[in-house]
Amino acid sequence: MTFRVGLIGCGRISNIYLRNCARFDGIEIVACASLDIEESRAKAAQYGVAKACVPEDIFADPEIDAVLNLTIPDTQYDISRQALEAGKHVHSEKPFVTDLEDGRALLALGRESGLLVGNAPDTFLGGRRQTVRKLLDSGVIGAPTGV
Amino acid sequence: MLNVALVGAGSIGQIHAGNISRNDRCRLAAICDADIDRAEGLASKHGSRATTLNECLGPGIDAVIIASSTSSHGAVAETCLAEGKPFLCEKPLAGDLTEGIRLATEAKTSGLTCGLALNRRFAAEFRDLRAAIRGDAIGSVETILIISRSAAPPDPSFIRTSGGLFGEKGSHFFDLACWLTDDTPEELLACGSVLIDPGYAAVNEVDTAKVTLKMCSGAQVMCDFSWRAAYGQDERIEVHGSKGLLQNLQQPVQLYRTLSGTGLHHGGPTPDWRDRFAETYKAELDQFLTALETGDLGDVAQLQDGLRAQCLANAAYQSVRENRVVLISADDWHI
Repeated sequence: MTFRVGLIGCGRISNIYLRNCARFDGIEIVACASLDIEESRAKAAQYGVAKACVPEDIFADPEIDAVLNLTIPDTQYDISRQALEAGKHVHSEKPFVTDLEDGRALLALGRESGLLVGNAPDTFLGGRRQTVRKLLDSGVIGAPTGV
Repeated sequence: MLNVALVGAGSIGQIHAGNISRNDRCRLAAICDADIDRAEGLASKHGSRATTLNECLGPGIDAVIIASSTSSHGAVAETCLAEGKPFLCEKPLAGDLTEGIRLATEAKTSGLTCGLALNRRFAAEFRDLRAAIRGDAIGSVETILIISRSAAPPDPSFIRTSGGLFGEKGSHFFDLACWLTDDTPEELLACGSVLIDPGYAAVNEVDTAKVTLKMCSGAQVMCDFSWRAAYGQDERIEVHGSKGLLQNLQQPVQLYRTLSGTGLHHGGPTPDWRDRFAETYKAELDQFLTALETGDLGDVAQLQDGLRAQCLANAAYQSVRENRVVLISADDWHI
């Protein structure tokens, strides 16, 4: 099964996601959206994404399982909330939200709806940090006293 | 040939005794210690004589090295001043900072050549950093990272009578930060934990700490102190400037990783501070002997530098205790 993702926010960071997602089986960016439809089209053409649209089209698309929210800090909350309300999982860039209460509300909404809510940073998943964690877990240096 | 007397025949005294007797510009004229057997043992080893403190400060003695127990430094220094003897004193000049300020002021008035032993200044690797900074190799200094972890933790009962983590260890590096940058701190924030031995907590000590200094220039110094390094004495300094980065060449420690990716391995002897800094005591003594002739201490720390380091150590304890930033004023240590 391939997990179908709708990307919202076609700025600079979207290039990294579009490049990297192409390397993974089981996940496919099927649409990219921006408030500016011209920007959506340009990004879709550049990476061979099937659909270029505006955010509302992503929320309305029953074929889309998850939203990748790469918008600016001020719109992160609204986009994530609409995605969850539309029954889609969400992963967003940092900051998650700009207001702590908004963040709590999103997590509650995700829990109630049985949807996953994820957020950057995710650099700890990289090879170097995973190696460090593996070594720490194996006890080679004993209990860490500082980082 | 200068006649040097040594007060204190403990671990540091033994290092000084060897260096004084090997230096061809001076002779080890006399040794005293509260433990007369210990003084006699050390004297016979170096062809010197064990005697009383009074005789150590008697006629014919040109200078005194004070390496007795920490709590006795102030009284010995005071006697040296009364007898008109120049001295090089292990840190601190006196256990109490106010007392230290009084003695340093008296020493200044006397015109005697008196220095404080902050031997890290004589480590070639740290001297190179200072020369590079002064030579504008990295532009203006913005951040200094200091790591000092000891090969073996001192006994908690000893640490109670010495300066503790911030006095015994920290003062070296607080001084180095100032000496490297020709700058002085205006703020200090410290965070401490007991992770090695609960015995430290019992004597109101910490064994692991981070201390941040904000210098008057705005440059920041971050110190990472620990009484333990299972892989050997670890002392590293990194200086970040507007134009580049300086790092001291860390002597190899016995920790390595295999390229086959099977993990980290440890083997061989672990160097301690005696191994790593043996040369610094020799160089410091030599500079002090020169100072006796010229009146210029050079890189030997002035008593006032020691007061500053002690003031910062006190501030670090205060910061840990009160969980807050402590403001540092030059009025607290300047004489």
